[in-house]
Amino acid sequence: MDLLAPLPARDFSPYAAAHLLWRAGFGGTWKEAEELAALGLDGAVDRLVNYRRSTGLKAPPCAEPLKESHRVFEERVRALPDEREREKERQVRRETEQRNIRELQIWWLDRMLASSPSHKTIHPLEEKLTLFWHSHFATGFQDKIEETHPIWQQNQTFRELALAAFPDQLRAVIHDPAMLVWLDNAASHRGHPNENFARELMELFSTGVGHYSETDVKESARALTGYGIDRENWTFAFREDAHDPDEKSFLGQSGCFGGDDIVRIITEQPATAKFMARKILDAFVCTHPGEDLVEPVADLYRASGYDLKALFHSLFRSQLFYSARAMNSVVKSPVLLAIGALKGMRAKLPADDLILGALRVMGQNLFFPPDVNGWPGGGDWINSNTLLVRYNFANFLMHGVSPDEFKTFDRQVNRGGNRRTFLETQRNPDAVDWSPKKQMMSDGAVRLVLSNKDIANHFLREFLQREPPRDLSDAIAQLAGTDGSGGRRSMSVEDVNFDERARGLVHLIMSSPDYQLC
Amino acid sequence: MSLHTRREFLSTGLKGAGLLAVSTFAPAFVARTAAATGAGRDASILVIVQLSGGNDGLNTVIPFADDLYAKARPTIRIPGRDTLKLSDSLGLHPSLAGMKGEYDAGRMAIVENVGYPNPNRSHFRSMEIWHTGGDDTKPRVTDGWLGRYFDAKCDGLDPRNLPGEIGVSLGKVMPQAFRNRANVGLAINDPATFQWNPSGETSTLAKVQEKIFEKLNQPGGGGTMAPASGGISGNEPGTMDFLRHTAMNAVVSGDEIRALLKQEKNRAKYPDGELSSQLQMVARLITGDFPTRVYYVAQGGYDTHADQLGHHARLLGDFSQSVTAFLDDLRKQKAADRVVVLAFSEFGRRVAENGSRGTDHGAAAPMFIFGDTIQGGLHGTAPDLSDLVDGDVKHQTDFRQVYAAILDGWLKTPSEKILGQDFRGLDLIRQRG
Repeated sequence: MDLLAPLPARDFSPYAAAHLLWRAGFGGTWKEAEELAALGLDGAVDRLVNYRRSTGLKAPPCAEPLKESHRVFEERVRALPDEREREKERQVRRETEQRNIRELQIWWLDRMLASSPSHKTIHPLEEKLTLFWHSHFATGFQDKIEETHPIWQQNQTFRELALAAFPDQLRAVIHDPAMLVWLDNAASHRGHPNENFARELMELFSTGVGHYSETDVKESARALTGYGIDRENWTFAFREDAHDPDEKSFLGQSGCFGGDDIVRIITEQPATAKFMARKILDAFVCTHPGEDLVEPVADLYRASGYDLKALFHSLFRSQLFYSARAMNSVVKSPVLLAIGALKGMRAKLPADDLILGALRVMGQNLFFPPDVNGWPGGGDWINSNTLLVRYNFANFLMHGVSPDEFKTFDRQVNRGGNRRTFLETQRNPDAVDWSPKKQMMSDGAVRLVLSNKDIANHFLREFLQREPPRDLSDAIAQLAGTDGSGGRRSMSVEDVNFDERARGLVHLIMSSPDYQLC
Repeated sequence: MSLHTRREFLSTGLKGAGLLAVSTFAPAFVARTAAATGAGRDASILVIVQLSGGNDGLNTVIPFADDLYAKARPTIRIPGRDTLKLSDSLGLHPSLAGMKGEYDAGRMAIVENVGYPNPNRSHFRSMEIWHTGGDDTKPRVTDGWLGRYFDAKCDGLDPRNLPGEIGVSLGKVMPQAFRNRANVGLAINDPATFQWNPSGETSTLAKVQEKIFEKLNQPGGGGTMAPASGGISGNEPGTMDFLRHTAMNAVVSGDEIRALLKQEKNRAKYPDGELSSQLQMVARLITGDFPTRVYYVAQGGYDTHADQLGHHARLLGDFSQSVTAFLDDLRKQKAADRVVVLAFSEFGRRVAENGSRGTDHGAAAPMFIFGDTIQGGLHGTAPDLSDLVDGDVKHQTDFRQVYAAILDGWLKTPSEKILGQDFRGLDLIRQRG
């Protein structure tokens, strides 16, 4: 297949390496891109794809099982004489878990930020795929689960199986406690099968709509009856008495099917390979991949037994991946936008409430997908509201100006609780600690005399990480040559306000449409 | 940013030759700013309330006298004595007390049993069908029905003479219903942050930054498409242009909206909640004559597969209180005769409850229309629970008949053109007095 012919090794420039880092991870510094480029195309792709899986990771404290299980808690609370007291206890438990899930969000964001091709244990592609699977098998904390432990379990399952063959992933999902509760399968029993999970299993998770009948939904729902959980410790439990053992007929096959049979039959469908190939291409290669691309990639994927690792090896080495069709065609997700910017600044995560608030208003609240369809992504990340919020987020990163909406907790998360509303929007101590000057010094990028153009191109390279469109580089150079009084005065690294002015440049770079794409 | 620099920004933005010449929608925001100075007072306004997740129609408008209803729902039926009676056989859910008042005053219409042929039980596909006005019997449509309405309003005319050519959605996402040729529309979550802020310490530097920001985000800024040195850079041309349009549209509209929200007041007591705060903003934009004719708000959570009784009651309570407060607010401010509210959900739910004291995805369900100028009461025919298809009720009224009634009767736009077919016949709007 011509499209997947490998890129000539000599074309693997630092720009190409930066592109690979954005797609297979969360971006990085220009230095990291240069280091990756030095490994050569095969070496770089190997480094990113052949990582050592993070199996057996320990749950962070916020995600340990609650000391008092659901049943023990309910028994204790039900014994309380007063309804108000009962409600208060429940409220306390809810708030504890709401704090915990936010800590888990931070824990994950920290991992993404720490991930790097040179990190020994935290791998960019592993975290990027964990995020991909979280959106694909979208499960929400709210309403039904409301405990952090099962959410973490699922997150770790996605991490461990990030590059696993798709049938293994589907099998894990039909045994995942959080999923079974989220899509109401845990209580599904024979005679009254609940169709919610069975339907989404095909419509959203595998074949896509139009490749099954209503009967197939009903029959697979029967096969999945009895797939429940032990709520005491959030483990999978097969409830024999609730399972319908009789014959089912599903997608043209019949037998006394259970869940594993359903997964087998689903993954035998060409539609599944196509649906997944499209989704993977859309997220990792190019937005709206055409049939010319989806068909051959789907065939390759299915023929290899859904070997995702092999697929990424060929995609990330392909000419296509580094062609105009693929590069800068993907709208950065809010998480990618934020983590990528922080990586460029080599900064730590900002204060918890601010980074989580910012991500929420940009439209990506981890563990709170909008619905079971996950985040639609692509152009849907952008509307008048979210685009301005992205630009305002840049202002926050550069100058600590944090709009009030970053600071208010999600009403869903914090129903009627201690919502903080401080109105000050001045430069404040929440500002992210970043000195462009120090960074330039440590990179040895400083010469005493730098032209406006040099300075503009330096920051464009650090943050945009592609050859800048001329208009953009001219505009940033113009700003570099403008001092506080609007007069023309070039920047010098010896200026006391160099950092301030440099932040102003990066604020503008991040307020460009170009920066929204990778 | 000072008002002074903002005004300058607006004027440079609007007079900038490049902007007007190349942008497909630049005239639109000129129109909206111009219209804010006077036009719009007599325009009829439509507010869409989306009940996301699939509202259980049978437990909203309850056929309590029907034995089949009781039989299908052993644990989640609402007994007749608890309902707010509409007739000998029908009652509203007890949480809808506020709406019952509207109904009794002839200001609420219930269209029973609304759906479409070959009902689709996927949330996403069914929502898409409602948003686009297409269905599975025809080639797929991706434009929104309201988007086509906006297109029709502009067709061959100077949009500067037509206020309200884009829709406003109060929330983080843009409804597909707004999608049209120009792909515009406003989604506003928090008006306070609906602006771009320069960071310059002095107003002169801030002005330079604003100019540069404008340049980077100027629609049709063709030069930026080409990389400085040819080769690997480049992207889908539509995406960059879409980003620029979106940015400029937002910046220019944001000022106007913020000013109006500050100037206008709500004069009714609203409940707490997301839907309520969205409607409070809509009320202020309406009384402030913000020149748009269509607003979109949403309330989620209706996907009640398990233990639905309490949850559904809370949702409907929030829905009823928020909408009636909104109507009350408009009435106090003498704006109620200009507004019609239309509430829908992507589907109803299965007639028989499932084993988890909930209901699975179904088909037809009632729709609700509110306003001082509408034809209140019951419309359409009640669902026949003895005649089900796959366990679901058969629809009797097509949702596009409701759209047609609104387009022809309220928005004064020939519906056939928008909907691709003649769906007229349902009478939901009284002539405005």
